[in-house]
Amino acid sequence: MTAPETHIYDANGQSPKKCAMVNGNPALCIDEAEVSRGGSGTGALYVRDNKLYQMVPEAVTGLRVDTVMTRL
Amino acid sequence: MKRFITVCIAMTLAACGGGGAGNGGTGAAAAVTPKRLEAYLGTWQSNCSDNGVRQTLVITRASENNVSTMYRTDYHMGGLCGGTPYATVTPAVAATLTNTSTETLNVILTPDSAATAVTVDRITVDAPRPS
Repeated sequence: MTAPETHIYDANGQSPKKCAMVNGNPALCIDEAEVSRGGSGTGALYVRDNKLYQMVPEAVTGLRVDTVMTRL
Repeated sequence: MKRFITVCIAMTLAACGGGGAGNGGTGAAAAVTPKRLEAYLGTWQSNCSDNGVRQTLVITRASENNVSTMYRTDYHMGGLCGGTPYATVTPAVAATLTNTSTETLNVILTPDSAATAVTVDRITVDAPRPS
């Protein structure tokens, strides 16, 4: 995170969040544990006409498009 | 994982949750060749979301059989993605994608459209815990 940062804790002092500050207010907070946990998983990709489709497992149809990105 | 890739591709650390059953498929899974990964190499960018969030994904070759992905999420004020973002988030480490198989499936690529039979590349995503 490149903006000014602060750390915010919940009521019991757990789950610290790193927040970008805008005009003195936390504007964007990221759960540091979530960012740093790492892990693995599965998915599917499809590319056509300079579009990248990211698909994730879905119970009914098997896959659904999660994100579409355009090649720069 | 949350989104690796928004990208799983949070790639959001989130595009990665358990294995899909793959029903709706029109063909059996097939072994892949490393060549297929080349189609994904490059820099990719999402559209600007309504709340001014845009993701950029860079995919580079890591080895013959997998690619490395690094994404950046930019947050902009006012719901528009112009100018300098007020915050940028990048993961501490790159995720590795491995193509495990290909499969022809009926997929709805855009909202409100009919499903299309496409050959997708099944992948596994590994994002190491930063040291």
